[in-house]
Amino acid sequence: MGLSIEVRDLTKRFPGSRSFPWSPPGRESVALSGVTFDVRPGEIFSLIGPNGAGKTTLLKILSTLLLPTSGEARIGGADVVREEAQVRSRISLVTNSERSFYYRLSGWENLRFFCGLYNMHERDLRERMQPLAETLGLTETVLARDYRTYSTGTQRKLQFLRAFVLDTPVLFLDEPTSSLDPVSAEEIRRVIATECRARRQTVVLSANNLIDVERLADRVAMIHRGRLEVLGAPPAGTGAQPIRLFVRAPTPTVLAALEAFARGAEPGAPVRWEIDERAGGVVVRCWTRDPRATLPGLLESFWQAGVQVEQVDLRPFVLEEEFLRRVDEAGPEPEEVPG
Amino acid sequence: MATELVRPGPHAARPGGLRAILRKAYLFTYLRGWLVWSSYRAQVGLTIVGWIVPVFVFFLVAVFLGAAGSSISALDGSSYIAFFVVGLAFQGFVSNLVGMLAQRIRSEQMMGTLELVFLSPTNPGAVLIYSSLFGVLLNLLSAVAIMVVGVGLLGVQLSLNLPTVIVATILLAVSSTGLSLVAAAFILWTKQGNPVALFFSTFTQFFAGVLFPVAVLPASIRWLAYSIPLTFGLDALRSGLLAGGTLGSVAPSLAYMALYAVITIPMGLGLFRWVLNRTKDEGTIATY
Repeated sequence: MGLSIEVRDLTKRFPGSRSFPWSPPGRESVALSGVTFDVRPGEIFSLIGPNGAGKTTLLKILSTLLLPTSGEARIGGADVVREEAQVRSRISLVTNSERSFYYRLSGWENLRFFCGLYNMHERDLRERMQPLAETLGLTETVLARDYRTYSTGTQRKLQFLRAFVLDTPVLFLDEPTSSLDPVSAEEIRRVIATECRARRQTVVLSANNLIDVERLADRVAMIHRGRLEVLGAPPAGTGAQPIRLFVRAPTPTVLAALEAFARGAEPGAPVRWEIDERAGGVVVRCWTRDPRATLPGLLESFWQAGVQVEQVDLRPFVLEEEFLRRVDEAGPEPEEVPG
Repeated sequence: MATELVRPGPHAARPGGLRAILRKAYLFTYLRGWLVWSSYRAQVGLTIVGWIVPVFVFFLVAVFLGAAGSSISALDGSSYIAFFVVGLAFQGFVSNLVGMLAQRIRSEQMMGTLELVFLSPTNPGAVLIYSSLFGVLLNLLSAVAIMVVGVGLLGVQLSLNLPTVIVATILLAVSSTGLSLVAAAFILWTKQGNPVALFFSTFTQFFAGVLFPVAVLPASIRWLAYSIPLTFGLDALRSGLLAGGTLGSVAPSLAYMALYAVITIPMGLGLFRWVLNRTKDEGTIATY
């Protein structure tokens, strides 16, 4: 069973480097700025964004490997800074790096070592590993070989095997299919979909490969220049499409109008909505199977509540287009951000 | 933000206990220590040669100077060969221990596994202690190898008091742990170049009574020798190995090493924790 993740106003600034200890520090860079979002237990939540946008920085803060400058992040209620030991016992991480095991040990020896750090007994490991290793195609012969002899695909599978054996409530995936051939990538996606869903693990998936996101994520958030915006569900996830509206009214009035609309709507018409407070108004995204059929009722509901609708956007949500549009709107990146 | 009921998976971290400690000690010593180290065969051979060669070098120097078999008052009646064999054996033991954790951190940074080790529920301080076990055993082996060469080939006469030797060796290792932690903190921060280990390995040869007695040093700098636990460790070990000295007879040296450990280990752990947080702030744990 997964645990929730709560992130509030998280900011990470990296100090500028110094040429010598006595020289003045270089220019500080902002990797994350006021990031706020929640991940529900059992949800697969995806982070997308250009390279250097802050995705890995965010995953590292949630994994206790990096300290935030300000703000708060909690995993199942435990603070990632003040209760890091509790957090570490609840999480595991699959990275895109092949350098996450000891090259001179076999796959099995590596599993014994890393699972042992979680106090797992060898007997438990064997018992737990068997069906998972079969699913991943990691036979005993493969596991007996030195890790340095593994292909990139097999190395990644071993990381998944470690994560699934540990069976932590929360799993962080950083580019899980990068540098994999299409067959291996699809295999990895299938494993994530099957195993994580079966365990109801809460997953935060950082991905540049938008196919991963469309196939796996329940919700997507985009990070760009350190700011995060939850976009909603990817189109392939539910078959729903968004109606985007910009309205002027106090947030409680907008919410009341949406709830009134949901009560009066036909079953299955509105899937769900999200609101985002902006200067001078509220952005509403309402996800529905048929936006054109839903729109009149939604507008009527807003009109009755006294909510002024200023803009309506019915363009279908395509992740790649959305990604490119937002990056384009933001203009060129001023500088590279570490992490 | 509300705290929710935590239901970790069936194999998520379980509480520790003695068995868990022993299991981790085995994993760090055998799997990550011995199996990785012994897989580099050339390194194994060269390390053993590195243990033994200095003994012969100093033996030849002693023969050349005519001091090989002499019994000198400054050496408390033991032969010079016996004196430097014990000195070299345990100076190597200690200086390798001081540099070992730093070396371990550096190697984990290079291999890319440091973040994953620190990501586990095993406390970073415990990770360091476990990591030091293989080094202690390996360096103890080096000390034993040098002693065997000394006794078997160079004619060193032992008059052994085993309890004294065991207690002195343990206290010498423990009293070096604080410095080892300081060196590890240094390498976690600077990534390369370890002045603590370098200073310790060169400095102690001159000032800790390794190759010549502390009494030979000018009186004005003799205090330096007595600020290093190795000086006391060598006194106790020479007594226990060469003169059959009892625990009672070396009690002041043992007490000094214990005191040194009590003061420096918390300081070393505190410094390591501080540097770890600093690297977490800078995002450079895995940088090498």
